[in-house]
Amino acid sequence: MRPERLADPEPERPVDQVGKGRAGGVELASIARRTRPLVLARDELLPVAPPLAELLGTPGLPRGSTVVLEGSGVAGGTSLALALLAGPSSSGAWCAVVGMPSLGLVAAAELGVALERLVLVPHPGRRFAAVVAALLEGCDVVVARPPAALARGEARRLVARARERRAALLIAAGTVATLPDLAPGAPGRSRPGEGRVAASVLWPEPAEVRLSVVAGSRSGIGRGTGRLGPRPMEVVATRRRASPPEVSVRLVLPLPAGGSVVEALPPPAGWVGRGSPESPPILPASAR
Amino acid sequence: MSPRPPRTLVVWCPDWPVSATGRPAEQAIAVVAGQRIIAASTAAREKGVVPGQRRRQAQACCPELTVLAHDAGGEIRAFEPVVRALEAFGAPVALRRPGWAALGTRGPARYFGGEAALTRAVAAAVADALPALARAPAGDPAPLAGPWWRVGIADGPFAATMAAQRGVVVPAGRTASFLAPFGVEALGRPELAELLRRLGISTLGGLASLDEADVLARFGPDGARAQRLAKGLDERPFRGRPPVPDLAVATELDPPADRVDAVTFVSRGLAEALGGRLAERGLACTLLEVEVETGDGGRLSRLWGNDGVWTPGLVAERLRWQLEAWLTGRPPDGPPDDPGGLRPRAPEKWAEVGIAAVRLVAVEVVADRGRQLELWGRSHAADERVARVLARVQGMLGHDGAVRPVLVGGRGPAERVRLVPFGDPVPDGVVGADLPWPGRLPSPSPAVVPADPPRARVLDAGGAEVAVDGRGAPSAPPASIATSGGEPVTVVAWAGPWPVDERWWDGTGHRRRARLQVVTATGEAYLVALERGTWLVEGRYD
Repeated sequence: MRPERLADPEPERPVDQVGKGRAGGVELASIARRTRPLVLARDELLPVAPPLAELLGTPGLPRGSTVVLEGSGVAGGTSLALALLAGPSSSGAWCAVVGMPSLGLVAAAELGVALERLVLVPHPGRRFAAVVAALLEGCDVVVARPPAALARGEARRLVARARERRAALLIAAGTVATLPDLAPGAPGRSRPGEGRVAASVLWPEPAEVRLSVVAGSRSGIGRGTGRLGPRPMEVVATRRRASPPEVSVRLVLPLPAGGSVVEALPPPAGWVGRGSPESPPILPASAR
Repeated sequence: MSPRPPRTLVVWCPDWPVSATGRPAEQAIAVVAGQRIIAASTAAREKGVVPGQRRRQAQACCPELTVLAHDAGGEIRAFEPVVRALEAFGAPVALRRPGWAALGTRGPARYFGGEAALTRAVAAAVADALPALARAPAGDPAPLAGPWWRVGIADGPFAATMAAQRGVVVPAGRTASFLAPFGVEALGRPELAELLRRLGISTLGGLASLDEADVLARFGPDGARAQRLAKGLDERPFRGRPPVPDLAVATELDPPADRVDAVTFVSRGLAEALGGRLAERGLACTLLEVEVETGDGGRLSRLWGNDGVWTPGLVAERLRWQLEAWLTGRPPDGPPDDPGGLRPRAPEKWAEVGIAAVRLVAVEVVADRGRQLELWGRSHAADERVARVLARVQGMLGHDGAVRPVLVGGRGPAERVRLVPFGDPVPDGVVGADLPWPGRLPSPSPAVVPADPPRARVLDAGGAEVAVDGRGAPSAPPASIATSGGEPVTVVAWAGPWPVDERWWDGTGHRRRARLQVVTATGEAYLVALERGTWLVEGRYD
């Protein structure tokens, strides 16, 4: 049985004093934290990079919570979901991805997801709810793309299951591509705007946090020059518990090393017309 | 001079991949792996089908040829009875591949009263192990060379293999003279054999007669090893696997159980008994077979592997999920084939007849060395929990319903990932992802990579499809992109094309592609590739 959740007390003094002034102080403090027998409130958080923590309104991804990545007309939702997975995954948590057969796994690795602790269930079919419920029992984070016909009751049961099993549930409602969506089984949408209306209906239940990519641009690419670089985007989060209830954060994916908040970034001003001069040439040596 | 290698008996099954299919040898059958023939039945060989041929060539030689895909797991399973039969002789058995097994003869030969008698006994046991296959010609009850097996004895595994091909027993100390007339190709080193032939050394005897120091200087360590083999001095004694003691537990249910929990309750006791037997011998089971017999004599079985700890709870839990999966049948949208087990005939029917017997067999055992646990944290318990949960998901969706990704070498985003069913070991021959792959697309990679890339049209300002010439230059700047049936979308930025010419030395694997990144007016970015005149959407930067 899990111990009861307790309020986070002050860190124990003696341990901190032992570590103080020594080179190994930080490590020692972290060891002390990990060997403590209690489950503290902050242990109930799965670590995430700082800009994402700002979106969530908590220092990490809370266990037992449900985060919905809403489909919007702007691309970037999949990268955002992978970036949210990266922190927990690299700190030892098991992650599962359900119902996303065309997930780019190289991109996942580049965004920081540890593939050795990643499990995929690409085609859950009609057993979507049963598969997600099972995975919530064993994995720490479950990313799921629900089918369009998910019943409200099933969604509610999954949210309850996540809360009960102390796992985080990320619902990737999916972004909409102007070209037909690449996921097999997704209905082809040929006209822009047509699918955007329907996208957020995929998850009928309330969630702790709803994230939506509202704007973005492409860097590093011109007309025949450069190549695609990191993607600056603006994400709006609607939170139920944190204040203010709605924040807008600008970040760049993949996150730069160190994971700093990218507030200083100039606002995306349309498309970059020139390839950036520092883009290295990638003409392969084998090109003939 | 090093001592003579130990006397070794080899059972060799030529074209085992064909024999393992269990089809009659009169049929023209060939087994292919990667478009090349790796084994052919006698009937097929008579028509001119030889291993190493391309599949098309083989079909041209022999139009009625049945071509089957290589099934490594099936071959190993089919060979298991032969290995068990050999283990009954009490000496360690070594396996190199399905279809080849070696046995140390020292003890058994004395027991059977000589090597000739032992060889006959082994041949008889091997023939009996697979009655479905054995059709030895009438007369001699156990010939050393049957329709699908060969048995031979010599000094060391290499010479014994050659002896087995001839079906003879080479007397001790006469191995070198037995090997002398064989061609140098028998060494299994094609490059060395070709070189030796050009130098005028065509037989093993010729190679053996050369000066050792000269061979080492001219052909390197591998050549020196080959010469030792040719002299009948096998350099490495084989390692046998310990004979698997009788590690099966079974129980009968009378009357047949018609409920899943009744069966799982019984399986708990069985698992405890099996665990006790394994612990007595200091072994851990890495592959467990669970067999269920239904009331009307039907059988269902499945093999489960894990890292060696089968607690009673774990066995019971897996058996329950397995039974539930069998009972409910396959979900209609699940994978079409189930590689791991057999399908029940009619689910309703077998719920009616009930389950009459449960049997647990430790198929593969290793010495129990314990497991390395993590010093800190709860990671170990978490791993076990994840494995349990995924076994349940696999019970619902089939073995390949839950997979884990492995990064491999490659250039395109789809080529760089291989999906392995959860619980399976990472297959051999995975090329390291950390090697340099010139021409690989740099980070960031597309976050959406379709398994089946849809076709697209990349058009220039005039509405004509963009082509890429031999130098990698586009015929015109791309102006719009459309997928089948969709309206074209304006392209506002693009980069590339980057040509990739892969495996140009290889007739079958050769691919020429040119990749292009495009950004549409709606802000989406795609990776498209032109191959054989068709643009395919390889990925979306989402």
